[in-house]
Parts: sequence; structure tokens; C-alpha cells
Amino acid sequence: MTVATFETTLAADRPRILVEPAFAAAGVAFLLMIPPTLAALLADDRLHLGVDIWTKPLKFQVALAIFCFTMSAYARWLPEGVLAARWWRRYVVTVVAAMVAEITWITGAAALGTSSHFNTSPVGMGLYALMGFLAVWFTASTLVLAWQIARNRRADVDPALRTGLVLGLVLTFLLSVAFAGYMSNSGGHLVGAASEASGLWPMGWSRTVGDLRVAHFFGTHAMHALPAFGFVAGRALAPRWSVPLSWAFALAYAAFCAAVFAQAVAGRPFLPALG
Amino acid sequence: MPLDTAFQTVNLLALLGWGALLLSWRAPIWAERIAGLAVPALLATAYTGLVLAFWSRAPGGFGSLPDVMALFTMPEIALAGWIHYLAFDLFVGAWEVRTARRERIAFLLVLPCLVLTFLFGPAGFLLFTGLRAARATQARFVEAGR
Repeated sequence: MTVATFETTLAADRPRILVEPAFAAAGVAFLLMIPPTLAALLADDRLHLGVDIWTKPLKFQVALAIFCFTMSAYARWLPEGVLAARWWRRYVVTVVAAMVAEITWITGAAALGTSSHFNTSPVGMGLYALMGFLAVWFTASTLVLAWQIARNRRADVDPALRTGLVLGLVLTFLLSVAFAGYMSNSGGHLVGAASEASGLWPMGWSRTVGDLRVAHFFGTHAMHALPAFGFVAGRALAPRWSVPLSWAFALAYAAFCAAVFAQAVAGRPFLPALG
Repeated sequence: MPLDTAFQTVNLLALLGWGALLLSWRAPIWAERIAGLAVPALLATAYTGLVLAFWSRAPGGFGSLPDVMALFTMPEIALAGWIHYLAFDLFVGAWEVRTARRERIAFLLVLPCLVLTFLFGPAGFLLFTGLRAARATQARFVEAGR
């Protein structure tokens, strides 16, 4: 099936989450990595920094699958013709290739029993640097999607939803790169000395010291929180109110992420009450 | 999971697949789903998990016979090797059934091939290949006689 026919048959009979073919296919591929990784988790007794060595590949497989299906679903708000455009098809292939390289190294590092992030061997450091570049490359796809959705003036897209989509996708890029970049430069995700054995379920965040992954998590999920807010606001209110409210929510959300980040940098746990 | 329990489980799974192939003359679509896809995929999942978890720690390698023998001194890798047999033998069995149906070979003729594939994989494949060759030869004579 050519891309053009894919796009035209799509609206009628495809689930709305499978709109962008490359992202949808990558999402399915990452989901299919989960069962063998679970089998490895079941068979393996090795630990890495106090948690099962397969926890991390599993988290990244789940996270990348969610990212891919989100990008695929949001692609329905692209302007007409973009999905089939040659530049888009080529660009999306590089994004998916970066994600595949990323998950291959993270899964492979677990199999080898070594660190994928913060690896200190010469080869490991080189791969870690390359991974950082690839991570920024594929995360930047949220900016491209935001730019294209902002360009789309189709009347059937609610203005508050569009505001949420564009701001959410932009914030996801800015906050992810800022928080992950800081984490990368600080040599680990914990601020303070602690064991990770009893982290907050299911994320494994520290209950006793600062954990930079909390801010990374909320920052990256701006692409879900802001569009969800815009969608609800657009349903409930007139654009005169819903659009400014979506902007206000974006600001509040960014402030919340910054506060959670400052909390971790200060060495305080996210939810000490549950400790 | 203790290795022994894992071993029993994969054997049971494989038997389920072979059972489906034995009943394929009654339910070919289900035989194909179970023995041609579901069970081999489950076995492959277990195999891949074991290799991911233990390969980097395993002794030996693929380079020489003593290397391969050393590889199988690690129980987890030996189990993975056994699952490899189970998965691919069953997959070949499903292929035999599928091919026989397409070429209209009677199931009773396929049955000995399946038994041999179940017990001694490649020997069963050889028997099935011989069976197809014999039928192809016979078909030529039938054509020539017309």
C-alpha cells in the first residue's frame, strides 16, 4: 500500500492511534520487545544499583511504545498532505532509527550486565555520548510535530486542544532535554546517598533522597497532560476562556515540573509522606 | 522460576503443539494457529529471555566442539538449547502439515514424518522431503502414461 492510499483509507477503518505508519509500527515493535524482556527478568537474578537489571530496559520499552503511539495518534492533527510528504517520511525514519538504536543499547547493556547510562569504560562513554545525541534527536520530533500542528488551521480542530497539543509537545522537548541533560551532567539520578531497593512503586523513585527522574517523568509527560487539559477545556468552555486557560495550565504545569526539579536538586524525596 | 519447573513447562507447551498437529486433519486452522505460531512464539520468548539473561556469562562459544560442549555445561544455556529444539522441531512439524495439505498428501503418510520430527527433528524433515520426492516422481509416471 502506498502512503497516499494509507492516508486516505485511514480515517475510515483504522484505530485512531495508528495514524502515522512509522511511529505506529515502531510502537508495536517496542511492545513486542516486552515479553522476552519479561522472560529475562524472570530468569535473571542479577541486580544493577540494587534493582533488577531488566527493570530499566522494560521501563524504556514501555516509555518508547507510549511515545510512539502518542506521536502516531497526534499525527491526525497534521495539516493535509504532511503524512505523505517525502520530507516527513524521511525524517520519521531517522527518528525511529534513533529510538531503535537507543533501546538496542539499553537492552544489550542489561544482557552484558553493564551500565547503559553513566558507563565509565571508554567504549561505554562513547556510546553514552552517542545515546545522548540520539535521545535529543528523537525527542526533537515533538517540536516538528508541534510546528506542523500549529500550522494547521483546519476548523475541526478545537483551538484549546490545539493550544494544549502545541504547548505540550514543545514543553516535552524543553523539559526533557533540560532535566535529562542536568541528570546526565550530575553523574547519576539520585541527589544524596541512598539504596534504591525500596523505591516508590511502580516508578522506583527514591523515598529518602532527591531523585531527578521525577522531574524528567513529569516534564516528558507534558505532551499528555497539556493536550488532555486542552481537550477538556475545549469541551467545557468557549474558546474565549478555554484558550487562555490552556496557556495558564501550561505555565502552571511547567512551574510544577520546575518545583519538583528544585526539590530533587535540594536532595529531598518527591513524596516523603509515602516513605 | 526454578529451572526444573521451566523445563516441565516448556515440554508441556511443546506437547500441546504436537497434539494440535495430530488433530490437524480435523482442525487445520487451529493446528496452524497453535503449532505454527502461538507455541513456537511462546517458546521463542522463553529462549530469548534465557539468552538475554545468561549468554554474556556463559562459558565456551560456537568456535569448536569443545567450546560448544562447554556452553552446554551451564544449565540455563542447556535449557535454552533444549527450547531451541522444541520450538524449531514443532515449527517444522507445522510446516510439514501445511505443505502436505497444499500438495494433497494424505495425513496418514505425514504421520510417520511427524513422529520422526518430534523425536529426531532433522530425520523427520528428511523423511518428509523423501516422501515429497517420491510423490513427484510418481506424478511424472502418471503424466507420461496418459
